Amino acid sequence: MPTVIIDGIEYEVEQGRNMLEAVLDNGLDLPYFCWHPAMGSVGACRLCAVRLYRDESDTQGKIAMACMTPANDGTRISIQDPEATEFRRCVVEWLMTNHPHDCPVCDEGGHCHLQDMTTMCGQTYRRFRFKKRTYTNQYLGPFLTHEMNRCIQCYRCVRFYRDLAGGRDFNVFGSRNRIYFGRQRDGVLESEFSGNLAEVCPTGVFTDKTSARHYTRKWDLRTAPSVCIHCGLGCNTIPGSRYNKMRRIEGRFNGDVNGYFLCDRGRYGYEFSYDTIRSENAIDDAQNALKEAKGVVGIGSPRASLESNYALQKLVGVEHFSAGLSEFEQEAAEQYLSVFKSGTAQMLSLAEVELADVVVVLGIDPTGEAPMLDFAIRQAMRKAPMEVARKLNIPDWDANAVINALNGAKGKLYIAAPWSIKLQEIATEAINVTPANVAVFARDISRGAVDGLASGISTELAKAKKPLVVTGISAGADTILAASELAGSIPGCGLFVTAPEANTLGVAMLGGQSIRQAVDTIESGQADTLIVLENDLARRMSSPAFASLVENVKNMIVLDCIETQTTRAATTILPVATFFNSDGAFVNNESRAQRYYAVDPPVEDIPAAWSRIRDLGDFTWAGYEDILRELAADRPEFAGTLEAAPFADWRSTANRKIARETHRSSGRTSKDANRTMREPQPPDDAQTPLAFSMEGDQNPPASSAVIPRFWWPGWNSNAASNKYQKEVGAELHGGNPGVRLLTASGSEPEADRDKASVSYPQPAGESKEIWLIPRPYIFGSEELSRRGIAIGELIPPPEAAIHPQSAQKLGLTDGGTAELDFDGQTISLPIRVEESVAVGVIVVPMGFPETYGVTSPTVARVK
Amino acid sequence: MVSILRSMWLMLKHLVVRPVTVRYPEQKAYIPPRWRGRIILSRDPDGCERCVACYLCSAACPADCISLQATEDEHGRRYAEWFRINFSRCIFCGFCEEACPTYAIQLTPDFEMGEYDRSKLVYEKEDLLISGQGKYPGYNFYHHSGVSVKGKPRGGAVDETHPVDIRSLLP
Ligand code: SF4
Ligand code: SF4
Ligand code: SF4
Ligand code: SF4
Ligand code: FES
Repeated sequence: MPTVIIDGIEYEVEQGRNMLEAVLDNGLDLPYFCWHPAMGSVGACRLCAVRLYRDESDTQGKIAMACMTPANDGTRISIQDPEATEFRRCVVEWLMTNHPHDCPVCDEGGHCHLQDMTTMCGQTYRRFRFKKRTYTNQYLGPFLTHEMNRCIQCYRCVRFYRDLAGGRDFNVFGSRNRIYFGRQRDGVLESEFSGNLAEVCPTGVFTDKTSARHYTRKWDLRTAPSVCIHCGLGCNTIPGSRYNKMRRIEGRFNGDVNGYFLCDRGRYGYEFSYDTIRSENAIDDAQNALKEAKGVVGIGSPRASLESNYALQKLVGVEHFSAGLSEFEQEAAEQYLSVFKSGTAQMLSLAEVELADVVVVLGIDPTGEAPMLDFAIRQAMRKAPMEVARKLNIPDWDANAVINALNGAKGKLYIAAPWSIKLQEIATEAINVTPANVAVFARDISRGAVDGLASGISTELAKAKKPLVVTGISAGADTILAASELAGSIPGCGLFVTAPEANTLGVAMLGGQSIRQAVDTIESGQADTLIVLENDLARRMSSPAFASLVENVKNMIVLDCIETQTTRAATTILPVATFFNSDGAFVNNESRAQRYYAVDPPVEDIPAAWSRIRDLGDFTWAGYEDILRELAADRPEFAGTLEAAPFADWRSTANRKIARETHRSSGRTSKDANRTMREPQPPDDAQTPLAFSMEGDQNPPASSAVIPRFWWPGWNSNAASNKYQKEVGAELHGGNPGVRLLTASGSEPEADRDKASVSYPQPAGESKEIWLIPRPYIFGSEELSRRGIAIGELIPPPEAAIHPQSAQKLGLTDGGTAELDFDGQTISLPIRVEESVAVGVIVVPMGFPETYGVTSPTVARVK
Repeated sequence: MVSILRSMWLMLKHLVVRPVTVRYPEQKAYIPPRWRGRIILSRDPDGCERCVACYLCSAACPADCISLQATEDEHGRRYAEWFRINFSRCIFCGFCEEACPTYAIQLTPDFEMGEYDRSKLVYEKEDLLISGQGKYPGYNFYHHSGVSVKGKPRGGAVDETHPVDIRSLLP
């Protein structure tokens, strides 16, 4: 470990850091703008100036940029040097000459890196008396507002958007003091990660447009550590609310999962919480129905917490419990679990994906299904040729030098998917084939095909330092099996399997029947009552099957927070608290158990789902942690969930709870004064180690799983996360949150090859038959986020895409209507004829009301 | 003896000096304009609400008795959707006025706010908003800020140039 000298004091730093990182790693303060822990340095803003000395005898030194100075052994700098301090103040003063008088109306205010750095540099008064330069703004879509006057030309946005996120429709334009960061013309930003600009930009140029509708300052937000509910990756989030209403979501750093960033679905999906179900408390009806029931079946849900699912399983018994997955998903999830446990391949975390150099994507669309995986693969491709730069002695953090040295070199990415996925724009090669052929292709690679693409890929995989195979539950059991064989056949090869929903793996681990079997139990008359937990069955079975279920069941008790087809068909609705009003655990795609905590107490006494289930049965659980404890005792593989985050009796080092509200939360004696003069006591939270009020510890908690926000004196923006990390940009103090539940036991994967190969129906070869494939879209396919106002604007029109060849064969024309017959139902959608889908398939959007019933690749007849 | 004489003297003196007591409420006392009494929300010279809902007053308030919610009109002008001061909690310290970047919130010389019912001391925006500019005439925040609002286009503020032409390549 190199030792550096900062203001005369020796500090140890990790190898390969720069001096700005060295300073921050050691908990010292040094202002900066253009450097970002995930993006490295470019030396553009000149704010991190320090005095750099040659050696001990050098008293003169020179002003240098800390972020561009390698932290070698013996590097000697001074932060406090008067000239360096004055230099930094001047830099801010210059940047401020054009900065508008906007703070009061700027949404960045109160969590603004520019405000923090300006204060830190001691620049408090504007001396410049001349006119300010101004810009016009652009419309960038429903997610971000653009206010270019506030720009300080740090280049972070364009580096994030182009270099990291791979976007192309955003750039820097103009010359001299007219440079402009935006699009060529107004329009919706194309990148799925555009929302991160609001966090990456150190000023208020980009701010969250959804939160502007009901703006609240950071100091007034009630925040809690949470996990994204909108896909199976389990990105860590910080949702914020005010007056018991959700206001915005920001990323919560987790070095093993999402790092600093989030996708736009995760960031803006929260608006679903405005559209919740309200209905009479019908718990008595439900209890009576259960008493009279002749057999009860319970259907759980991959978007409900582990606790709620387990509670339901206890209530109805394992043999009458369904995980709430469609048959296709259930089979694939079971296959994945067996592959995982077998240890054939190494299961990677999302952060580890970024280290791969050769990636093979099999049968899934990461951008639509698990967007941050798309981001991680882009990082992997960007970093893969890093060796080239290292050979030239260019440190990894020297971002521009690395880009020049790499000269466009990228890692190798191969894709086989039924339609042309967005990642194909950076792929080395890609093929578009039917789902069954994806598996065939994977086997070709692992069995060493003699020529063609498959053989090329197998050579590249063998050469790779960190090969990786990516697939997903939505690709089906057979593809997962084939992918695991492929990964297993290459030494050191990693495997990454996505899960469609936040808790898919959790419910799959709990086990149980598929929905189909549960429905059969009802239809065969063995049971007449159904309890559905936060699950819209209409999305998971064909419409006739759903209709017949509704007809055959005597009592259908539905617990949900949103209105769905299932709640509409229910005989009894029990409204439950939304995700933001309840606590629980999710198990993400790599079996990482992560706890999320309620941001707000339940509204109007609508309780969490688990407590509804407790009241339906004969249970004594006082809190959700009792359920978790019981689960862990009952099923040892869930023991890790107990370690994932602290329980209600945990206290900080100061023996206090963690405060969800900041120490400067305002309006306590006024916000309820329109209703009551009594100033109600803040709601108590007996369930968690967090308090709903400002009363509690405001310091960074010792357990990283209960960090409610990043804040540090002088660091109001999220850059305060510096102070929560062992090494800036790496692990949090106390380790990254979450515990992996599954480990490889070394057993063979239980592959029933015959079963696996029938998991895809085969078109009979008859001319009117075609594969019907649901395609996940980032906006629109996920059940909750599609209810959001902003996301709702970006849902693509429901269309059926088909290859010209197939279209011709079936007599379909672009712009016409396709009537597709499958599983006894018919859907009709406008046709889009395009080359980007595989021959022999027709691709329709997944989870759209128009395509309910299309739950998995199936065979349809074109009418 | 001396002290008795002094007391007598003081007492007799008061027979001839003018009393300081005023016959309140018939007669009003002089209250200096900077007296910290009932709080109002003022309007800018154009008659629009001055408050831009920045939340600084509510953050500054030591009694935590201000709460509000920001919203925007269709031209992007920020204002308070609602604004509430609980005067039963206010200590009339004037911090809110000092924190306010727009001169919107001002304390006035009116102190006659007594009520029998505490809930009547909760003032909403309608109760707080006056039609004038109060103590600080002439200031309009939006004429200094860079954001555009109705009647003030981009680059239209005091000390601002016209928006630059980013497509120009002139040196
Ligand atoms: S828009 Fe923001 S991130 Fe981009 S250069 Fe300007 S200040 Fe930096
Ligand atoms: S990638 Fe998935 S988990 Fe992560 S933010 Fe997006 S939707 Fe949420
Ligand atoms: S005068 Fe003081 S106590 Fe009263 S509202 Fe203003 S800041 Fe709060
Ligand atoms: S400080 Fe002034 S502008 Fe800001 S919210 Fe309060 S009254 Fe309105
Ligand atoms: S952070 Fe070092 S120059 Fe910008």
